[in-house]
Amino acid sequence: METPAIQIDNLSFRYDEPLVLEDVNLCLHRGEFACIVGPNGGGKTTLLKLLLGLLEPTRGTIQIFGASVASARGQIGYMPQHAALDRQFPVSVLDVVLLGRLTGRLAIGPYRKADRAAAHAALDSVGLTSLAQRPFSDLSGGQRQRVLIARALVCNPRLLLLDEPTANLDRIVQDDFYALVRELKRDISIVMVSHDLGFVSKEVERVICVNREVHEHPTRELTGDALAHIYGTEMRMIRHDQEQPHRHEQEPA
Amino acid sequence: MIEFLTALGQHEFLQRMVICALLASVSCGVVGSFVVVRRISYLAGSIAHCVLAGMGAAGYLNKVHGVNITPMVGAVVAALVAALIIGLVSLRAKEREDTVIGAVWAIGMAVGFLFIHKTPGYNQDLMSYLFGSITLVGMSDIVLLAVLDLVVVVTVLLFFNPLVAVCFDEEFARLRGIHVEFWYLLLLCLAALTVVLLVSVVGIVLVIALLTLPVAIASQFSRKLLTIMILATVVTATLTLGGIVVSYRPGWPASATIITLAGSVYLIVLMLKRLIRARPSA
Repeated sequence: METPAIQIDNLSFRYDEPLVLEDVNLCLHRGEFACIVGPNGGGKTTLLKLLLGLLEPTRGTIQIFGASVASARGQIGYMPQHAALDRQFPVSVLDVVLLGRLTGRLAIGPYRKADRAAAHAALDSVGLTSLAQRPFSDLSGGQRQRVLIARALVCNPRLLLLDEPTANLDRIVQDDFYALVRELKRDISIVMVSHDLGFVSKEVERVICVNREVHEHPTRELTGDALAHIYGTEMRMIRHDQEQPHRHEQEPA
Repeated sequence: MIEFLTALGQHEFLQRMVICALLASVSCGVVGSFVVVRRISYLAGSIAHCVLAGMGAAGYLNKVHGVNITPMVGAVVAALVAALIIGLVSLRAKEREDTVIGAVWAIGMAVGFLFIHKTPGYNQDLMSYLFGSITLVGMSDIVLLAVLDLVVVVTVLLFFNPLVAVCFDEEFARLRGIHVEFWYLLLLCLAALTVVLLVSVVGIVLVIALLTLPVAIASQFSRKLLTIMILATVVTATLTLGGIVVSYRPGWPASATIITLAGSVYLIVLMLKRLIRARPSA
């Protein structure tokens, strides 16, 4: 059998005292698209950081393509929340994408021709070729998001980890983003953290609910009961009130 | 101006001043840009004030114990030690970062002040350390400063990409396998060496303005880091030389003149930019 993209066994994690994640078991096959959902403080970001190797598990193991997280790092493309980056930093769109070509090996002097070509190709795949020389700070939220995807793609990853990729995007930009992800999905395994359950049910194959413990719902079972499990009853009421009418408004167009 | 040029030909101290200013300008523009975009001018300020400990200790060892060491050498050692302490605190410590850095700032000054107090003729030294004096820099120091300048500029040019990566998005750099701690400490050490170069021109207290204002001025005209570095270098050279020329005839302190000039130019640039931007819509 093919080694899975992600294999998590009996994983637990704590920062200080209470466990943030408890006894997590998870297996993501190659080419699968999974979405991590759950309440704030439930451990979504912690799980992502463990997958990235930014945190070490308290107990249990994580394997990525059958190897340790540290040795698989080169095969992981990561897109952080763009809101966390300094808007005033003087850097061009191309420069941002080129950061994805850096490795731990000491490279002296300017970027190589091959790096620049790869960066242009990645920008092309997200439809931003014409903005390559523009300052990163000039771009809209949706454009910045796509630049960060290009940066995640430029190292030819086999696994893509996306942190809240649709946060702060308006509906139309979100749809563009989903179309792009659908395009990518053919040959890359994708894990994204999201609050956007409307998107979850449409595009994602697996929904992983993180609230200290991890439960999985096949997307077709993502009903009110499942949502209640993820967010608690109160949240379900709010979610439903916001999500349902909103989607009805959008779909006829 | 002509009067100044004539004097420049005659007086060796003026020549030293001009050489120091030009040397400092290069690393000031290059490293100052990183300090500003990474928003660590507070750290640089703390490093600058720790320099007093090194200068005080060097002065004390020299005058009281006859050790052959100049204040500038002491400054280099103190700045590097301070950069490493502050860098490690900023990276590792669980304490509130600003509390510790503020404390290091003051402790550096306190230690320096104690050494100076124990050194005969301390009053004059203290003033020149704090507010700059060309008497601090001998011809032998010029060689030291030139070497520092070369080290700083060559290091930045060779390792520009990882430095930008660590400054712009530390977490992503870490994921790419870049040794973030190493590059961050290196950047602080480069800032420390730049601070020493600037102390030779304007003194400890005024360093932070000269490290940041030329970059602030330059970034009004460009949003490319490399361009900002080049512009900031030209701006620093212009401001420091301008300050030296302006202050010469009335006999003002050059350091204070340079900083006041830098602040004025920054404000004028901001106002002009606002005026130009307002015009088309009016």
